[in-house]
Amino acid sequence: MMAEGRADVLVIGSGPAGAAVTKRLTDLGAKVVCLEQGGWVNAAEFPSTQPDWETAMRRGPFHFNPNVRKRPEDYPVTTVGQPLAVRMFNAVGGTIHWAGHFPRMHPSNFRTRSLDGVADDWPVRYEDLDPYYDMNDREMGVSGLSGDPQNPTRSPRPTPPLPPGVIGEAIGRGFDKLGWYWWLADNAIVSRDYDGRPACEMHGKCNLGCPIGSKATANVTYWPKALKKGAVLKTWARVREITVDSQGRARGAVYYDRQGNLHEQLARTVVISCNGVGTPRLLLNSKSKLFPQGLANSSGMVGKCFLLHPHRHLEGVLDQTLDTENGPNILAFSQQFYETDLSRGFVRGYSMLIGRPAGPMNYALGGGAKHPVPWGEEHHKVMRKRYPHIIIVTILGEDLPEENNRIELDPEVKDSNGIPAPRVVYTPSENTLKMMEHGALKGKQLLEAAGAVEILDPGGLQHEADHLMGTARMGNDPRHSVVDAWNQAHDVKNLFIVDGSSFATSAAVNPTSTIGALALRAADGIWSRRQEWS
Amino acid sequence: MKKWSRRKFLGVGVVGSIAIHGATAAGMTSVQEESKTQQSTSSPDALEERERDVLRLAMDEIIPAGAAMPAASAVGGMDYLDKLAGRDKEVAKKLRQSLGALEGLSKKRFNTSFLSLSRELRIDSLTALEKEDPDTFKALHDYVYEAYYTRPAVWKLVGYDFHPTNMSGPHMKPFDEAMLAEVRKKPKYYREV
Repeated sequence: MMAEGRADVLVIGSGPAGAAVTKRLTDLGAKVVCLEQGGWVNAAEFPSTQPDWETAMRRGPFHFNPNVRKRPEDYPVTTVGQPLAVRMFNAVGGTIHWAGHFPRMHPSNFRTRSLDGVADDWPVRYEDLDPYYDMNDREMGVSGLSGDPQNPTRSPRPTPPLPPGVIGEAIGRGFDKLGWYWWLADNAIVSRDYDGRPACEMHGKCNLGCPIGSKATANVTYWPKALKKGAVLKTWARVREITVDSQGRARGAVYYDRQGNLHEQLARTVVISCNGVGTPRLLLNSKSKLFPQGLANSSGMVGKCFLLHPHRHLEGVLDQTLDTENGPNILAFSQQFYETDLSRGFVRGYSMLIGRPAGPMNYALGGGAKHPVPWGEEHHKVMRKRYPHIIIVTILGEDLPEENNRIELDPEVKDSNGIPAPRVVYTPSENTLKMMEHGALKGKQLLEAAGAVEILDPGGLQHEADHLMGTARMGNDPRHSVVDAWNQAHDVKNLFIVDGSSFATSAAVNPTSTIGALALRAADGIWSRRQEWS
Repeated sequence: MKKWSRRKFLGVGVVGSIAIHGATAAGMTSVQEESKTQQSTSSPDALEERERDVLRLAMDEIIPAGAAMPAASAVGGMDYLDKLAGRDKEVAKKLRQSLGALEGLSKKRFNTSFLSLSRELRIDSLTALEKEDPDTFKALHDYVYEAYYTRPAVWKLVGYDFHPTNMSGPHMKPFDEAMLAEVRKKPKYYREV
């Protein structure tokens, strides 16, 4: 095995967190090497460029689920308990499958123990992240509108809001009729030419790749700049374990190249950004004499408290013809039921996300609400009623950390390099189930107010798990958490864990904006400790 | 702010991952594209003649003609699935299983092939398959829906306007600030900490 030249900082994973850390540290003057198990994805191959684009949601190399996709760079993910389809994409920039929705957490999300007596307070506050949210917004390019009364004041958005279209008008009337709060969505999709990237063309297929680069995936935002500044990105490099020296400091990482050859990349500081499933997998697989339970795991909390966003898609069928296939996937949202109100029968709350379905195949197959258009004589009649007349309301709830919900190493299943697969063990809590029922009732109320003549409800939680969080949680107490307020591992001082794994709570908003803000802040923390680099 | 044309952006703006239009168009591979160039049943995994006959009849009961819409086979559904099965072993396997189960059920219930059944009994067989073996039925059902709703001829009839992401997008009505007039009147609504 060849040891490779020592970097100041080794970043593992090139998604939105790894990219932000790399770019920020490179700007500050560090020599950064990033290892990514996938490669650059050729945008010409994105399903969204092709007439049969909707089939990518059923099979093939762009399927959301690595167990279905089975690209060479993917690893299998097994599940126990609640059936889950864990969704991720292993490539430079990571977030190919991403709607681009870019909300921020609320101040209360960082203080759930103090305010509501549940979960744990974060060791950082909203105010600590606020400047990094702004920095991340500028780097990524965000469209939206300031002035939302549901959230603290934020800086003017870098580009104006994307048009919500006819769906937005209809749902807006519904919200206003009920007297509920709502606002246009922030999206990491530029609505004007921005920083060398063109304005969104409203194709409406954001989740299956944006080849023109309007959507702010890290391969078109952070990476080109980081590489220009001198960062080194090694693709097709699958990390097996973090190595440590005799003092228990991280020494680097051992990885396989595409041909299966082993290498060791040395570094003064190591950052892990492999998502809420991949990160604990790597830590648990990094066992040594000094760290027999896995790296940074003296608390036993690595892999535990796995959080996702329980959600439920409701679909309202309106008489009105809607522009369902155009524009941003998430166009508006409401946080009317975001904060705790114990009279509802549960603690914490949820967001309502207003979205649009995909194309006609997706409609016919039942979409998110899992109500296929019936086959046979009634088929065309029902299809005509639903297409293009559907608005989606997604109830996206705050998950509370529970140690039983966890990522562990599967004792049997391995990836193509023989590295144990992660196994997800997850059962939704009673609180979650009550919250989702409440959300479903309110979602139906909203759709009726918007003019729905029929409402399609899957009747339970969706099985897709795309927001992977909590498995290397942040906290002040090393007995109950893995990293501190700067994403620095309590046990290994030159190891940083920077992705959704570090979330102490999930909030009820999509996580990418917060992941980016935490990453930029962690980079500043790493840089400020550079005198400790040996 | 500096204005960028898409051509300029695609040419210089991004490392590696963005294709120029020509390359995108050239790289377009879909079943529909392949359909134009390939001979039918070119792969050993493609369906056999009898399976194709069963599939044709089954798909036209799953999506029949009516309400000014064509049946599944009338818009190229057979060709689509035959090509798909020819290039994807998993699809071929699932289709074969479904068609075999349907044929088996017909023989069990009516002592004859699905091919010999009246329309009423074909629907009866499909209904029975859906009830007795929902996963197997679902596979067939979903492939037929896929074959139908990926057909440009069907898009025109249902009013779907396809905009590939490597070309210009649709027009959308600009955002009207008046939409938020009611919300703007409300006080702040988040929890102070």
